[in-house]
Amino acid sequence: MSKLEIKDLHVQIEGKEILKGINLSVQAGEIHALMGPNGNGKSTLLAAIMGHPKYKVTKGSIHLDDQDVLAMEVNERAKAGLFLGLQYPLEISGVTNSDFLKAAINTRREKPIPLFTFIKTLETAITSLEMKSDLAHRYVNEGFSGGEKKRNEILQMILLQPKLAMLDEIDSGLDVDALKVVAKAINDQMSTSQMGLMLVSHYERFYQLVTPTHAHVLIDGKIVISGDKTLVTKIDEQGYDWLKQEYGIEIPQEEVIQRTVTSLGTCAVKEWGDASV
Amino acid sequence: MSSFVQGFTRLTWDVSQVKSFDFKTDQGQTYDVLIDLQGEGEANIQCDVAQNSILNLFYLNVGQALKLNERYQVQSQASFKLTYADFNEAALDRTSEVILLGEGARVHLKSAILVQSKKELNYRFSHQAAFTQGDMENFAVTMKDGSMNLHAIGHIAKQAPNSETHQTTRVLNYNSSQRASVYPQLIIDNNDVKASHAQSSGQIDPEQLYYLQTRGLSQGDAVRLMIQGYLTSILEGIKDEPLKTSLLASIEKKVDEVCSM
Repeated sequence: MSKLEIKDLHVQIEGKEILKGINLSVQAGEIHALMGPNGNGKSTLLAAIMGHPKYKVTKGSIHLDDQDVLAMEVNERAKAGLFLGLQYPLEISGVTNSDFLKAAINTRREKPIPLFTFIKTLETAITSLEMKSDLAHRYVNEGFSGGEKKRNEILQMILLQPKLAMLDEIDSGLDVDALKVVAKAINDQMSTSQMGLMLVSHYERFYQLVTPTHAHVLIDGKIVISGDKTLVTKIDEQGYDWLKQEYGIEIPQEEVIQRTVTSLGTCAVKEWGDASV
Repeated sequence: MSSFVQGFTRLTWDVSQVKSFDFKTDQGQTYDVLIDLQGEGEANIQCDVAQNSILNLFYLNVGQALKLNERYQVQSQASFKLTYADFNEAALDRTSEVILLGEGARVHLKSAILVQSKKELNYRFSHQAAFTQGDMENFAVTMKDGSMNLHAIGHIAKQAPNSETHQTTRVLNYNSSQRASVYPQLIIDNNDVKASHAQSSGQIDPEQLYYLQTRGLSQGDAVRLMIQGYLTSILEGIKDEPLKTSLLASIEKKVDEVCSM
């Protein structure tokens, strides 16, 4: 049974402190929902755990069981069992999915995966995610729709069998049907492997399909409140404003960039900053 | 002028021995030809791709410094696939002109080059008849001490309406010091055509590198995978599986060698 333990984590990006002391413990079999308004550190937390070079840890610790995660390179973290499904998966022209996935799987094995086993495993995963069968021969994410890219992240998660998976807005870009397919694949993975899961999503619909055991709200780089699934429902119904009334927590406003409307005509011009957009 | 043998053939052309190669295909026939270019020096290559014939011509450069002048004529409804693989350390000066002479003639040129020395490349499609189609895809990876000049030209003549000419060139610089210059040109003398060119050049994207690393690949393995990806794309059209496997292995070996330098 694996456990990810984060203690007093402080993270900077380009000199600016984003995370200001995160404490979090994720056990195998648990599903943690990370919530909070945009720009409060959810994605930063996931990226810092994975080791993105732009994010600098200035204080605190991350351990996966007895391993010091912060002492490891990105690829070593992956090999140790961490997986991050990106919000915006990269396109890599010229590299086929097949070569990429094979190489990724082989980093976890002493001997390269036999070709037949690989093809079988890949086909099963492609079918379960209802993806196109030519996926293996296409270049990594190149020409993929937003939804296909997200499915491809889940496909990688299935093939790599991580101990702890972190999924950053995996539901954005997915239509209702695709969301169900992805949720089922995640749930199947949870039930067959002893995996821990951290999810970032803004939508309750996703949390109805993949039910969190824990929920946390991140505001201004700190976890201000933790709870269970009822917290997710409350936020879906009431937003974040009640946090201020009940707990006196100030929510920093996102910086609004004032844009000037310049146009030759006036018809069809919509004011910037319209809250209904 | 001699004919290629139908079906699959692998030939060795030694430029030190022979200076002129003159070939043709026969009407309606299909050919798969792989040529190992050996030796050193200058050579002229000419080939006539007959009406309705299909020619897949794959050049693997295993020679010393070469200067090649190539000229291909593609007759009506013929399909010509031309592939250049050059992973050689030696210098190369190649001028290749494909003349689409007959209506409906098609050419698809693919090149992959590992630039470790001086490479001067001139690829030209000349559309001389209606409904001709030209596609060019170039992939280059520049390594230390390498420099490349690539002129990629698509010319659609006035008498070639409804023709299409497209070209893409991608260059990957392994370190920051290399020089690669690409000069794409479209010369269009007829209004009723489709033409496009696309070009990208740059170093390995750190975000792409990070993405591969998050899946467990070391930095070195990630770079190798990306470079191999660039170069192995030319093997797509090869039907002979053992040949494809052996070429793939040789590319991987070459990339391993240069990346570990």
